[in-house]
Parts: sequence; structure tokens; C-alpha cells
Amino acid sequence: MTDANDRDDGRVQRIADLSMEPPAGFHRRVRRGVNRRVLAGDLTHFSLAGLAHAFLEYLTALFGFAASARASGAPPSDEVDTDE
Amino acid sequence: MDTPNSGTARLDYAEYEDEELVEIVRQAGPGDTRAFEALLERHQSRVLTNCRYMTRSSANAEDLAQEVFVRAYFGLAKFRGDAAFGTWVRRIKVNHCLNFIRKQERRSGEISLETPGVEAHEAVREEPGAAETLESLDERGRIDGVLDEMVDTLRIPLLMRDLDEMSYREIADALGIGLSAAKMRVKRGRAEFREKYESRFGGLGGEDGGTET
Repeated sequence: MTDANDRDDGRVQRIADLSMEPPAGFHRRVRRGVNRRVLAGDLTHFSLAGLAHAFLEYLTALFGFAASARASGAPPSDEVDTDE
Repeated sequence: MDTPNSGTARLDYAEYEDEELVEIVRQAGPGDTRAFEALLERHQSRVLTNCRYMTRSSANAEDLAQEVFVRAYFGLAKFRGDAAFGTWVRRIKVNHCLNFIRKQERRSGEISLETPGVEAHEAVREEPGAAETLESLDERGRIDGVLDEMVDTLRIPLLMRDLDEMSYREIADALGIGLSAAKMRVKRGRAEFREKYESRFGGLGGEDGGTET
């Protein structure tokens, strides 16, 4: 950012005011980009606590599903991709 | 920190400061981008706009902006909060766009952004713009057209200064040029923008008529 000593009054205001709206589906594109790297094994951005939390959630979901399937006698269903 | 983890709580993220959202993203599970999308929502327009004018292409801008945010997501572990999140993302964006432009320059043999002394003479290449069609455009199209006609060596420092609000030192460091060269390129970029615009469409008027300091 500009600081007080760096300020000048020659700025072209029309350029400063330029703004562009994101295209439709931009969030989805970013989300897919992230998911691709996660699926490729890139976990560099997570804290240890975040990873531990995610692992616990995974185990809970895994054993919870197995217990519920045993109780109902239902066969395991295919994984459903809920991503858009 | 109390975090809105349910899928129905997306709106709640709007109440969090950027730095709090960064922490929520770090604590979230792999691929859980809900909090990150709140950051994306706040900063996407600025990043997209800058990428568009840096590269002169909306299609390139969308690809680059997407890559900038993916890099930001995976770079969050290195974000220490010394600068605002927006400033940090801007740094990623500037580096990413400059790398893209340099690759294009190498391919096409254009004058490099780092060429010393290029700001001092008129040997910079004039872009083959569609000048004859600019008169029929609306105000936004006119600005786009004039900017897109300008050479990288003047347009990019101008955008870094007036659109990105970067300091001259940051511009000099990003472009690998001296401080005085950065100032001179911005000054010449502004003069060229005004000259091109005024010669086609009349005076810029009002606040854009300011004198250089």
C-alpha cells in the first residue's frame, strides 16, 4: 500500500475506479482447483490441529457408517459425489 | 474461536474479519473451502480486474485469478498476518501475472519489463490497437482500449500504482528495476494514458486532469 511519503496527486482516477465482476461459476472453478490439489495429496496449508480434526471426522464418519450399516443390515452404497 | 461449521452457516462468515477467516480455513478439513469462499467473495473482483488489465485478456484473467486463489489457499500456512490478507493476495497476484507476462514476452520477443532505461526513450513498441473502433465504445470500453494499446513497460507500472495502489518501492522490487525508473515509468504511463485518451475522446476533465508531482 502507498504510505504518506509515497503519495502523489497524479493518479488517473478512471484507472483507480476500474472494476470487473467475476464470471458465473468462478467460485466453483476455484473450489475444483483446490480439490484437485487436495486429491493429489497437497495438504501443505493445514495446521496439525486441522489435520487431526479432519482425521477424527473421517474416522467418526467411517465407523459411524459401518455401525449404522450393520444395525440396519443394509449393503454399503456407492459413494455419491455431491460436488457441483 | 467459535466457527460456523454447518453447511447452512455460509452467511455467518460475512461477519468475520479476513484474519479470522484465515484461521478458520486453517482449522477446516482438507477441501472444506466454505470459509475460504468468503475471502474469495471479498477479494475476487479486485484480483480479476487487476489480472484483466495486466494481461489485456478477460479469458487469461479468469484462469490467472483462479490460480492466484488456489495458490493463496495452499499458501495460507505461510501467511503470518504481517500484512492484510488482501495485500498478501495482491502480492501473489502480481508475481503470478508478471510471470505469465514474462513467459509471453520470451515467446514473442517483446521488450522485457526489466529492460533498463526503457522509460527514458521512445523506442518502446506501440501496440497494434484497434484505434479506429475506439470512438464507438462506451466509457469503460474506451479506457480498456487505451490501456490495451499501451506497452507493457508503461502500462504495468501504471496499473500497479493507480489500480493496485502499490508503493514505488514495491513496484521497483516486483519489476526488478530501480526506484527512480519505477517513478519515471508511472509518470510516463499516466502521461501516455491521458494523451491517448484526450486525443481521441477529448479532455479527461475533473479529477483526472491532475498535474504530476
